Amino acid sequence: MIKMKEITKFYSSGFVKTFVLRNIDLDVKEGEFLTIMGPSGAGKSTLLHILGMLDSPSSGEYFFYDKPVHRLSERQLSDLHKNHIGFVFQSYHLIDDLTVYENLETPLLYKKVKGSERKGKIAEMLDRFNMVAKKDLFPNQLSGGQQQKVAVARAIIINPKLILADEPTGNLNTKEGTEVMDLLKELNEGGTTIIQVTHSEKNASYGRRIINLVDGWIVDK
Amino acid sequence: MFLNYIKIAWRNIKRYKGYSFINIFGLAIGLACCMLILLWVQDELQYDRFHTNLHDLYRINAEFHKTEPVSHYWPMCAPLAPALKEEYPEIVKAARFTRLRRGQLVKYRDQNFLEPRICLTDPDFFSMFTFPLLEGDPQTVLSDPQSIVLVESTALKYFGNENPIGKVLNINNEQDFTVAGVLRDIPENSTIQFDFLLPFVRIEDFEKAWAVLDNWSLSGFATYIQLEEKASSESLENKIAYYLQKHVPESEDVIYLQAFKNLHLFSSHVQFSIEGQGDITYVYIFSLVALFILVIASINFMNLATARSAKRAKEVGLRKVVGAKRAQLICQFFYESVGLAFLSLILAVVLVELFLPIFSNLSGKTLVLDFSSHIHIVIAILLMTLLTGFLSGTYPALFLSSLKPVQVLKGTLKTEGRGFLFRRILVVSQFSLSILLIICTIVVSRQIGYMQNKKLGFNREHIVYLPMREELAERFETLKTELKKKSGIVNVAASSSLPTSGVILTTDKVSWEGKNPEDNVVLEVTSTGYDFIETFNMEVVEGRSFSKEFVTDEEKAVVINETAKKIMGMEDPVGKQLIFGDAATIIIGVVKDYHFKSMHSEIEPLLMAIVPTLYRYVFIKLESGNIPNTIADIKSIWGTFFPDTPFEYHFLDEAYDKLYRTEQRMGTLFNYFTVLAILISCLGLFGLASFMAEKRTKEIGIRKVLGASLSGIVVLLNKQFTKWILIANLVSWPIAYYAMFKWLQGFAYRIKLEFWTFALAAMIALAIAMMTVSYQSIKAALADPADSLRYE
Repeated sequence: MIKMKEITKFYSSGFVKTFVLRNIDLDVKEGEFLTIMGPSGAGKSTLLHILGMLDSPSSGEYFFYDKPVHRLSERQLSDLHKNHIGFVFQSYHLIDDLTVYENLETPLLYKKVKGSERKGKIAEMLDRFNMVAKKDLFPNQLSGGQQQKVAVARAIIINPKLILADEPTGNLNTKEGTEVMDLLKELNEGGTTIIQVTHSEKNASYGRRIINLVDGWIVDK
Repeated sequence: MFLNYIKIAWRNIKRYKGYSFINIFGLAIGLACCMLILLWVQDELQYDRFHTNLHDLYRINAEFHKTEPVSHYWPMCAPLAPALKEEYPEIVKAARFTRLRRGQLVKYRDQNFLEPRICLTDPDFFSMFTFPLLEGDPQTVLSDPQSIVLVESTALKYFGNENPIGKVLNINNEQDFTVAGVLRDIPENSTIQFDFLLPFVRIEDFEKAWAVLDNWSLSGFATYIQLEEKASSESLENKIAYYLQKHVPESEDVIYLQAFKNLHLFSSHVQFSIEGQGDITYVYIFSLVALFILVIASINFMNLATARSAKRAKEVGLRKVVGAKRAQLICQFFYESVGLAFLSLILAVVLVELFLPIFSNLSGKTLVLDFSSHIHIVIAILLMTLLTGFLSGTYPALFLSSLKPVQVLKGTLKTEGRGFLFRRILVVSQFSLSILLIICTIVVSRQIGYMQNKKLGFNREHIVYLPMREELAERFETLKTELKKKSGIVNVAASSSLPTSGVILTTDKVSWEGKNPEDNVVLEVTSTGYDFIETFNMEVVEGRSFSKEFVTDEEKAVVINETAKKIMGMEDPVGKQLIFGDAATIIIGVVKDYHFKSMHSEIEPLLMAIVPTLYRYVFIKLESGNIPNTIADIKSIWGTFFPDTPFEYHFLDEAYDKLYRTEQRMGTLFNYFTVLAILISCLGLFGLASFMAEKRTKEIGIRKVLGASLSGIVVLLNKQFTKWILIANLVSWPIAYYAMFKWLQGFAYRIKLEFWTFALAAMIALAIAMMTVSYQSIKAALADPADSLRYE
């Protein structure tokens, strides 16, 4: 599903190049649950963003379903990414001015899903996450765990092949964290590929494969 | 999707109420001002456009080349119109038109009124111009010399609901006229205005001093012609240019055609302006002011929209994450800003409806907002709103949508850089326009003040004037004696013209001993009775004023002004002979120059003589105390002399104000629009300042922790705004200087453009801006640093 070859990312400020990722080679097969671990500043999030096509590498090749991502136009990327990829962030990142219902609706709108079908899907999600009563609330009226559940629901509402989760439990208490992780596990069992970034050994144990990132290099443990 | 955009936009408006208010209200004021001005401009441009034959109608004007610059005028001699029509087949119709100089007494049974708007014209008038007849036949209506035509409202005033046709009106207790037609009331935007029309052939019944109808040397009547369809006005002009010379070989006037549609706006170079006449310059100036205000308001709108858009960066990033294409985001921002702009438009229409009566009053017009008849304005305003919305959406749409979501979500985005420069340019241009308007306002009001306060060379205070009817001239001396018996009356005099509105006659038929025959001297002539010079406290610099002690004064004496003395080149004019027409007169005195026309023109050489038949006005100088009583006395004396004539009086001050009404109106409107422009600019600045203060909250917090004082922080925040306003001054000064220099050229007597005017405008702009900004700066500086740093 994913093939990365010699992916490098650096930022230049003045004459100094700061390397974030160096020569990353990575293969991910469909249905995997991969965990990326490493200390702060190791480049984990950058790698995840590149995987999710939110950021582009400085050099190297990236194939998603054999499509050369590094050569696609913005429009093609946006198509690819709205049909196949769902994102979950540490700080939830819901649209503040939209209600729970509308936040769930937004990706479907961009995918041009028809009205009735949209309603059905949103209802299904609200039901599945026990959020029906909260559908007209705004994000700031919800607890962190509830917001993260909405974020996960928003990520999976388009039935993505790949879910990218950046410290999904980082801002949550233990109970809420477990709930979210169980959810991801359930999705993985349903066939969705999941790549998560985490500090927590406990969360890493949900995954089947772990790669370690230190100063931009992949290191074997 | 669309609904989603609307929801987001609406929630944004609600969440940032202050910004939204400033944004929408500011633009609404701008659009409203613009609409009001456009209504005015439209009204000016539509003047006289209701005539169906408009494109074939012309007025005959003449140029007189002996003056410098060449003078243009429209009053023609009476025989010209019929002669031209007879001789040139391309002239299909011709009509003379004139308003009687003074009010006439019109009687129907036991009612009588002094009617000031009685005009005389030829029968062709009704088929040339589109003044629809409610009663009567346009082909024949004025053919009978005994006939009279009146407008609907006048007919109502005299006859109520009775049928006016066939009723007999008596004028001046002398002539009877039979009503032959009733016209619909004359539209306000018509150059030709009247209440009554009489046949032109009766002119000699009213102008008794002269033979008129066959007199080629006496001018005073507008001559309108209608050309055959598609006839060329140029070729006719070539044929008739020297037509007057056929009848008056010594005439130097060249006649030409002025298109009737240009009469209202393009006649400022033509002498003897018609009441209500417009000027294309003011149309341009106000259109420009409208544009300025709109630009200022749009800039505000854009500025605030861009400033606020940074807050939307996160939303943009998230939308991209969940699959928004760039084009979709661009659309979203455009929809939003155009939507807001239209919201402003709705508010603007409400404002226009509210302020239209006040504006109509100020501008001296009756304006109505009627969408169906102002389709141009509607389209223009819609386009402008769309454009403003579109432009203000451009920056957020193009810049924010281009952001990489990662940048936004990580919070590493610097929105300062690009948007900052853009906003700075906008604010500078906005303030440049405001300062430009402030300077213009100061200059215009100073010029108006100057004209009103400049020494006129005579005292116009406490003088009332009574328009006289012609036959009353004989009884003037007895009236004067009666009036002077009353206490409260200082002096009484008569003259042919108001000392504000020129003279009765212009002539070059003067000669004197030692005159160089090559020289061409044009003199203005006015008839003034005894005591005129004294009544107005004019200064006699040489010789003496008219006096009853010298029997010959009434026929042989003239007084000239200083300019005349200079132009005639006389060393010692008193006692010299001056041949004027065919009368030999003696110059008895020289009067100090006084302004007998408006300050647009220079003082011309003037000749004063006593010609009682030309008297048109009685001037009465009053003592300052208890004026109403004195006027009551005058009225009762008037009543014993002329029991049939209603008493009519005016203060000279009013006549004087009338002289500069256009400038005054412009000045007042200018004041209002400038205040509004500044207000809009400040609204924008206020919004921007609060935005900037907010952005720098963290910096301010850190500075406070490090020990910065309140005043230090306020200065820090205000400093950059000061810089912008100084730059704006540099931009606007040269433009203002040039524009005002040009405008002042239109006045023969004008103020100097002084540096302090510019400096004052700069100070005003700076002071207002500082007041606006300081509120936000102080608020920011007073905030508790712990609040701003908590989240770091």
